[in-house]
Amino acid sequence: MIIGDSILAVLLFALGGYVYGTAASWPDYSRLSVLGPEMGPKLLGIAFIIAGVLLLLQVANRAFIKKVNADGENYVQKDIANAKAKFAYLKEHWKGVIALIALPVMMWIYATVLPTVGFEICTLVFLFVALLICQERRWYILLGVPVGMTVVIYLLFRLLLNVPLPLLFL
Amino acid sequence: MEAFWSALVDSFTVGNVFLSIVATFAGIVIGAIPGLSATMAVAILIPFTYKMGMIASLAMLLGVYCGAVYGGSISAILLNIPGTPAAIMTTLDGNPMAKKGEGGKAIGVSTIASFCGGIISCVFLIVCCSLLALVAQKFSYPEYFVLAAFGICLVADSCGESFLKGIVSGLIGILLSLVGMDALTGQQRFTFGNPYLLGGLGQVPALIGLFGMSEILNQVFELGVSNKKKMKVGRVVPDKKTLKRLVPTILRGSLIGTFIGALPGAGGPVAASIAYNTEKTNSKDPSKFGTGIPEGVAAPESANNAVTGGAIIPMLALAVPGDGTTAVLMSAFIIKGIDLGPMIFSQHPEVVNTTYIFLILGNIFMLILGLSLARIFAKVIEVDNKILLPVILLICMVGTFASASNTFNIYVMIFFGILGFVMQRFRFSLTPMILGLVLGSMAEENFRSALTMSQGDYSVFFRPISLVFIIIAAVILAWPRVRRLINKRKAGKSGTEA
Repeated sequence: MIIGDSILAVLLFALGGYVYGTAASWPDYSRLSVLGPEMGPKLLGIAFIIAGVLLLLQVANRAFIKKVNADGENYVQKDIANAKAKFAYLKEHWKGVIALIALPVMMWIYATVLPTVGFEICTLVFLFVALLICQERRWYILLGVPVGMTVVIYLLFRLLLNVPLPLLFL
Repeated sequence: MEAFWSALVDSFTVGNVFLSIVATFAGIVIGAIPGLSATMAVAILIPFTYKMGMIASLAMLLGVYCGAVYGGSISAILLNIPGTPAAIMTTLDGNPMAKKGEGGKAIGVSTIASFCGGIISCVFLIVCCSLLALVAQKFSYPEYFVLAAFGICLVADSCGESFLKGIVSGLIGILLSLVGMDALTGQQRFTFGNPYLLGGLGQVPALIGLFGMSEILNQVFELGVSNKKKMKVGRVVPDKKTLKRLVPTILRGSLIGTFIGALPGAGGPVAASIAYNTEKTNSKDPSKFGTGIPEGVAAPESANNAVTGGAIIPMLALAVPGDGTTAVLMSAFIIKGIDLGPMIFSQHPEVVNTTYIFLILGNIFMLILGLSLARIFAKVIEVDNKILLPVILLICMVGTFASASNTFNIYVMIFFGILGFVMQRFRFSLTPMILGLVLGSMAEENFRSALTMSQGDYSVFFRPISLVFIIIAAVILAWPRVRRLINKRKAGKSGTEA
C-alpha cells in the first residue's frame, strides 16, 4: 500500500504538528501540576511525527530498495494497478458509494431535527429512506418495518426502560 | 456458615427466584443492544428498589448485572458490534466464528466461559473478600497508570497486520481520550469551544460508531454485490473435546478478571484485553487468534464476567466501587440504610450472604438462558441485510442518544463511524483505538497524579506492584518475538544438518 501509506504519513505529520503546536500554546500550569495538561498531547504529537517517518521509511524501503515482492512483482506498479482496480470498482458500484454518503447524511439530519420534529416522525422517515437506500423495494417492508420499529423502540426504551425520548404525539 | 444457610432459606422464595430469572433475561437483552449498558440497566432499576425489600432488590439488580455483562457478547459475535465495552475483544474471534457457520458454538463458548468466570469470581468473593480488598487498597496512581499502559501496549501488539499501524491506532485513541477539560488543571483540550466536548467524547458513541456504524457502512457498500451467505447457527453447546481444551483458558481468564475486577476503576475492557493477550502469548499458534477460534472467545468472556464478582469485593469491603455498575449498585445499599465497608461483615452478614447467593444464581440463570435462547438470538442474522442494516443503524442511534439523552452524541457516533470506515480501508485495526480511548485518560491522569504525589520522582513507577506489571508486559511483548527467533534458528539448524 505505497500510495495509501504515503498519504497516511503526510496526514500523520500534519496531525502531529497540529497537536504539538496546539498543546504548546496552552498556559503554564507548573504550579498546579508537576506535568501540565500539554504533556500528553505534546508526546502524542511527537509520536505521530515519528510514526509518519517510520511509515515513509517503510514506503521507501519497498519502493526504492526492495522494489519487488516475494512473487517478483514491482511494489509501485502493483500499487498503481490496485488503485486503478479500486477506482474501477467504485465506478461500477456507484449505488454503494451513494449509500455510503447518503446514510451518514440521513443520520446527521435525524440527529439535528430529532429534538424539534420528535422521535416518531424522524424514525418513520429515517427508516423509510434508509430501506430505500439499502435497495429495499417491497412496499409492505417499506411501510411495515418503520411503523413496527417505531412502536418497538417506543415500548422498549420509553415504557420499559424509562429512557426519555423527544416525543411528538406518543 | 449458619448465617449463609439462613440467608439461603430467606432468599429462596418463588418470588425472588422468578425476579432473578426475569432480571437476568432483561440484562441479557439490554447488554446485547449497543448503547445500553449494565450500568444503565442497573441505574434505571434503582428507583424500583425503593418499595422492594433488600433481598428482592439484590435479586433484581445482580441478575441484570450478570446478564448485561454477558449480553454484550451476543451482538459482538453475531453482528461484530460489541454490546458493551467489555465485549470488544470478543468481536475479534466471535464474529469470524459466526461467519464460518459456528455462531451457535461461539455463543455456547461465550455462555459457558462467562458462567465459569462469574462462578469462579464468586468463589473468590466468598473466600477471600477481605484479602483481595487489602491488595486492592495498595493500588494508587502509579499502579493504575502502569495497568492502563499495560492494557494499551498489549492490544497494539495483538491486533492488525502491522504493529506500527496498531500503535498509531492506539495513539489516535489516546489523543481522542484527552479531548475535554483536564481534570487536574481545568485546561480545555481540543474542545474547539464546544461545551458538549468539555466532558470528553464519550466511550459509548465512540464504541458504537467505530464498531457498529463502520461495520454497517462496510456492509451497505457491499449490498447487492455479494449475496449474504446464510450463517448457520449449528451446535450451541460445544463438544466435550472443545470444552476440555478450554478449561485452562477459562481458568486463566477468570483469575485475571477477578483480580482486575477487584481493582477500583479498572473494569471489564482491561480484564478482557489482558486475558485475550495472555492467551495469545501462551498459545502454540498465536497466528490463529483473530481467525475465529474458541479460545479467542473464551478468554475475554470468562475475564469480563469474572469482573462482576471481583468488582463487588471493594464495594463490600472498602465501600469503593470496583467499576461503574457497582458504583450505581452502592446506591441500592445506601437507600436501604446499609453502610458498606469492613463493618458490613459483622453488622449485616445476611446482606453479604444474600449478595453472594444472587450473584451465583444470576450466573446460573445466565447459563441456562444463554444456551437455550442462543438459536433465537442467532435468528437475527438470518434477516435480509436490506432490512437488518437500517434497523441496527436506528437502534445504534437511539441507543447512543439514550446513553446521555443528548443528540450531540449521535454526531460523535457519526464521526467515529466514518473514521472507523476510513481506517479499515487503510488497514488499521480499530481495537487498539477504542482501548486507547477507554484507557488513555486513565493512564494520563494517573501518570500526572503519581508524579504530583511523588513531587516529580519517577521511581514511584517502580514500586513492587507496578514493577510486577511492567515485567509481565515486557515478557508478554517480548516472548512471541523471542520464540519466533528461537524457532527460526532451530529451523535453520535442522536445514543445515539435512
